[in-house]
Amino acid sequence: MKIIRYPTFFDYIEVNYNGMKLPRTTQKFFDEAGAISRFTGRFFHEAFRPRYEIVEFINQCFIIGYRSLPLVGLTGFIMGLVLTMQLRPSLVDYGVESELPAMVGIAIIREIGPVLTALIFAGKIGSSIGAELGSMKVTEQIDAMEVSGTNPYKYLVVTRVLATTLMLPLLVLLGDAISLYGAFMGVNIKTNTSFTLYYTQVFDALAFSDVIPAFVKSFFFGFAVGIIGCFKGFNSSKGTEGVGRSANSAVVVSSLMVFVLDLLAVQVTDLLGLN
Amino acid sequence: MAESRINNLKLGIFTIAGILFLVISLYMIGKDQNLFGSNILISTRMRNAGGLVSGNNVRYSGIQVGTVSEVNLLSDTSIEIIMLINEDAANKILNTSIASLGTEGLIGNRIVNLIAGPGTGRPIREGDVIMGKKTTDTDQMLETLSTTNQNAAELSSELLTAVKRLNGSSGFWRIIENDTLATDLTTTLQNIRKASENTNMLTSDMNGMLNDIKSGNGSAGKILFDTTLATQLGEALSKLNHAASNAAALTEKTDQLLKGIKHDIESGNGPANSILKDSGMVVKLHNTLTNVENSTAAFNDNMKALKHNFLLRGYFRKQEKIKSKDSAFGKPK
Amino acid sequence: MEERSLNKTEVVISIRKLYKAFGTNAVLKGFDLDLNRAENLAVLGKSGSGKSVLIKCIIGLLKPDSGIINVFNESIPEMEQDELDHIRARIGFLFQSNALYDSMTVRENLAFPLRRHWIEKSQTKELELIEEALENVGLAHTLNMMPVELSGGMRKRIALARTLILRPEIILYDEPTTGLDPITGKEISELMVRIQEKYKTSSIIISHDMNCIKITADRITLLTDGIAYATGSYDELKASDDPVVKQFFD
Repeated sequence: MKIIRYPTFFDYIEVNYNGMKLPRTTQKFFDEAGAISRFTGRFFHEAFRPRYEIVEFINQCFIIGYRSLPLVGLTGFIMGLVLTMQLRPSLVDYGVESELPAMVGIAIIREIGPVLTALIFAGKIGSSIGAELGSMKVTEQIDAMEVSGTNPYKYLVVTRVLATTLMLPLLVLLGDAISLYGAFMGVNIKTNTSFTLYYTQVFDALAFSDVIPAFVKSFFFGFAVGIIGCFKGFNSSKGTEGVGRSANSAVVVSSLMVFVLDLLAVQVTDLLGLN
Repeated sequence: MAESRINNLKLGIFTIAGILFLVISLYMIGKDQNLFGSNILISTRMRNAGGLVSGNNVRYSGIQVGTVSEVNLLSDTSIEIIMLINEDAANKILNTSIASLGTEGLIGNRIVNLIAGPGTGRPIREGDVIMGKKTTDTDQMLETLSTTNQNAAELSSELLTAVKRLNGSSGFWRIIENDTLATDLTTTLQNIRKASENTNMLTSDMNGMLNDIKSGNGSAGKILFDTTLATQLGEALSKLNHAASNAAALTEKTDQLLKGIKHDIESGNGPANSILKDSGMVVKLHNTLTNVENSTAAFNDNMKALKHNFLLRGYFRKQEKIKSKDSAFGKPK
Repeated sequence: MEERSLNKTEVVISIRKLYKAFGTNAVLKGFDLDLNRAENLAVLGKSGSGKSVLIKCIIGLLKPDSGIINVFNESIPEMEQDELDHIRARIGFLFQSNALYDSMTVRENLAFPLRRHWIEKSQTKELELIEEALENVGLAHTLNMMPVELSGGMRKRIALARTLILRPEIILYDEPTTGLDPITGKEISELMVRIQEKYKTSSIIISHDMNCIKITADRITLLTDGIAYATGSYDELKASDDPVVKQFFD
């Protein structure tokens, strides 16, 4: 078992300013933030050096991307439908019911699609990565890999993080497409709109500044879900309880990170003048 | 191994589908912004860009033909709008076309509308500058409406004053209701005739009297010898003579006055005539009233349109509510 | 392979003054050990005495604080990653919890070290090796099963087969019989002896199971308080009067 305790900022504080101590939870929070940063740094250090685990990467892409599509598609469809039905009354009040496709389209592409998909993804993939790596850690499979001449960080973490980073944007795109179709059904519940008119209206309302930032931020969402799931799994404590906890906190922390990144993304796009 | 090949196939389909959707949506959006295909750049000048930004649509007779590429401030009163027009459409748009600003719907995005201009020209080419036309936007419409409103108010108040003054002027109406005037004139003429008849009778009486005196009959003889009486008689005669000449002058003057009035009436001068005879004036008055009516109707339409404008709808609704509340309580408005 | 059996006195693993601490908790405090070729050396100690830490230091999973670990006369702590990978191909490691990859079939589990160590093998050659390894542990029929479908003893055997597939010169056993019933434990112990005879491997067996040690060990080192307290054959140590040694044999 490889136990490396890196000195943290607070170790130095305790040494140099004895008596000045932060509350335990605060210290733990910063400790973990530091450890995640280090873990992320290691990712960039290892991801772009050989050897490349291409077969395992493709395998993970299949598991992470393809197998998540039904869930993402279903939630996306329902969300598009429900959103349309919920928006209609207020638009009718203002007499701009005809703007419904444009409005729903923008809402889905800009925000609902990426964030909802990322949250579902965090729930499904974040927890499964956390649990899988956690149990591998507990049952010494990670050590076994290392002994078998495999860098487990490359084999387990890099492949998964790359897979989540690349697959989530794809899932977001497909989720958007399905969601827009759901919205089309929603539009057609009360009125009769042709599909051609619907998609013309949707795409007329959209600009690159709607699609590109949303697409770009989903890469970051995917990266966050992957890296946090792997971090939690890789640093799982012993025992089945530790596995459960790492799966759970992987979901919680990565969902939270999705929102934090979303907040950052909206500010960055605003600064770049893309809003 | 077979299973992993199927998995690879599924993953491939999944990936391609996602990328395809991205490409299609980017293309659809890009098509609207004319990023693909060949385009030409033309420009126009306007005094007011009205919030136009790059990326806004350009329509020719209502068909999407391009987008706004740049909006530049040229001088304090001139704004240059550069537009990307797709080549297919450019072949059919002439350089005499006129550009104007508009909105998509009532509150939509700004657009540039191109319409065919007068006369013939050649198809637009890269770098052409076409004419820009100032158009009404909602602000301007409201401004114009308010001017119209003011004018209507002024006009009606002027009319009101005029009518009041006409009503208040007794002389005017006396002239208009000309019965008295005519009677007065007739009476004057009758009186003048009577006066001249009386003068005639007086003259013949004088003749008889003079004959009596010549013959020396009666008291007249006495009178001839009485010098005082002769002097008094001479004075009386000269006075009579004067009176007769006065009567003649009066007759002449009356004649002149009547002639004057007649001449005035026939030649069409003076206020009385205007009122009595000028049919043009009547038409004008009528037109004025029609105009007032029309502008009131137009104003009503404008107000109706404004009432339907969602921006102001709330205000009018409130007004209606107050009105109905007032009437419910039987209060005067 | 023939060459291996010749020199019985050649030292394959040599450990001197090994120190390892976790935080303030010192586990190894100057441990010494020599493993000769084709010898089964058992390291006996109480739970938490640092037995697992010792073999993890040998394989390079843990870095010692100080001390010398030489494997085939090469210093493990000073090695670069690829050198380490290279020497790891010559050392087998049987994990306490077997560490079979749950997501892979038995066949894939066995193929994993073969592929990972860049041992170029054709598909058929690879299958031959896997089948041979499975036959060695008597579980040829489990080729396409998943690890969860197997019993504890079978999993231990598969793990052993996976360790053996690279024909290691040294095998490190981490508590090979822990968690197994005595009969299965005995079977595993006998299997270990057979393997040692067949492939002439040198082994370090970490255990506190006296039955296992009695069957397998040529020599026993007693690990207490972070040092090699005593070394000798089973019979020698059993005959000792030392109270510390005695408590293990009661």
